[in-house]
Amino acid sequence: MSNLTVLGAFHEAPAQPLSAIEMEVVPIDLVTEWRRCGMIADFMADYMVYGFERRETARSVLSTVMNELVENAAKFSADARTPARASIRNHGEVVLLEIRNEASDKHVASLKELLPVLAHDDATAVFRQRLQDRRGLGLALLARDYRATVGATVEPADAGGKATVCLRVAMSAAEVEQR
Amino acid sequence: MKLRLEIAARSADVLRCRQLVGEVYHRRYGVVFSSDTYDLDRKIEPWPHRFLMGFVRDELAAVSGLYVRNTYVERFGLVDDDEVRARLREAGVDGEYEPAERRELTKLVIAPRLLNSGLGPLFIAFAHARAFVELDAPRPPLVTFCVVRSMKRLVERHGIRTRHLKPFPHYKVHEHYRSERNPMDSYLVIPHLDVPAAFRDLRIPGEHALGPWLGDER
Repeated sequence: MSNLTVLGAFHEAPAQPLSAIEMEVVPIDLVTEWRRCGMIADFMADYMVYGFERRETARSVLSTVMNELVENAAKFSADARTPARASIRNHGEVVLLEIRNEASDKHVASLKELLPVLAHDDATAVFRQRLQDRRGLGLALLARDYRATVGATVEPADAGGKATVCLRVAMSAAEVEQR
Repeated sequence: MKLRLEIAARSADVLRCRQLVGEVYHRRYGVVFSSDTYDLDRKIEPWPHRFLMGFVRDELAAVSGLYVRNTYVERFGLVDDDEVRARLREAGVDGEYEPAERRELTKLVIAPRLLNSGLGPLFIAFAHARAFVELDAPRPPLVTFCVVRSMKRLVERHGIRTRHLKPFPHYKVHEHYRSERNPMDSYLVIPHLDVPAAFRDLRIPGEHALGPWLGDER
């Protein structure tokens, strides 16, 4: 794994989650029925809410964050027919939401620009700047609204292939329940 | 080269058509699709109701969609019945068509391997066949479509006549498709006047040699 590049605030996963769900999705399915992004996000959130006392709130937050990640994979996968993997892992104090997919070079470049800034600057300021520049707002919005940390790893491509990006959003369990 | 034409009927055929259209439109224009919602500012497009498929041997080589109601030019192009009626009047057509009965050709896609083979303009002409556009219609409908100026030339390459309706409003979904130098407009086709008989009467389902239209070298 020495070739792995870490971008931004990539929260390392504690050893074993208390509860988890992982799904494989094929981006072309999402491109051809956009509503599926929301369906997957809602399903995964529904599955995970039993690990939280404030379920309605947790459902809404987890679904919103997961939806952003799934839409991200649908929009920016290098090959729409190569599966992506989405997961939510509840580690007790921290919840990790993740999407792993083969990403286009353009998307990797954009993450290389955004994530380090998001890790070091105030999320509200980053959000405002991107709004002004008319650039993608989703990840900055998650960082701003849920005090989430957003990071990624980029695994270089094999010959002829595309880089695999693991985009991870980490949130405190308290933030998931809005306590 | 021969092309086998079929109208997608089985679920698997519709799925293949949607995947080919979705893949190409997403890669080229960043567009996604939905069966039950649309939002052109979020680049979510409504699916056509039917698809014409063109196979080269067993490969799905070309697809054209068809809206049989709620056409793109009326929903988003803001073309109304009076504007269509006016074009019919200009063409000296009276009573053969009901202005509100329109179908629309849309989402033409050629498999990447066959791009620039000349199949695109020909497949557009094939899609004007009554066996496709008139299927299950109580009476022959008018045909509409919207394209950028450069594409209009391709539509007309095999003799389809197009009648300008009006400029198409601006939406974010078309930001990578249209430009100031290549504007987008809505058009009308009056089938019995504007579609050559060879295409209007084309047999579907059926297999057709492309040589007579594309030249024998293909």
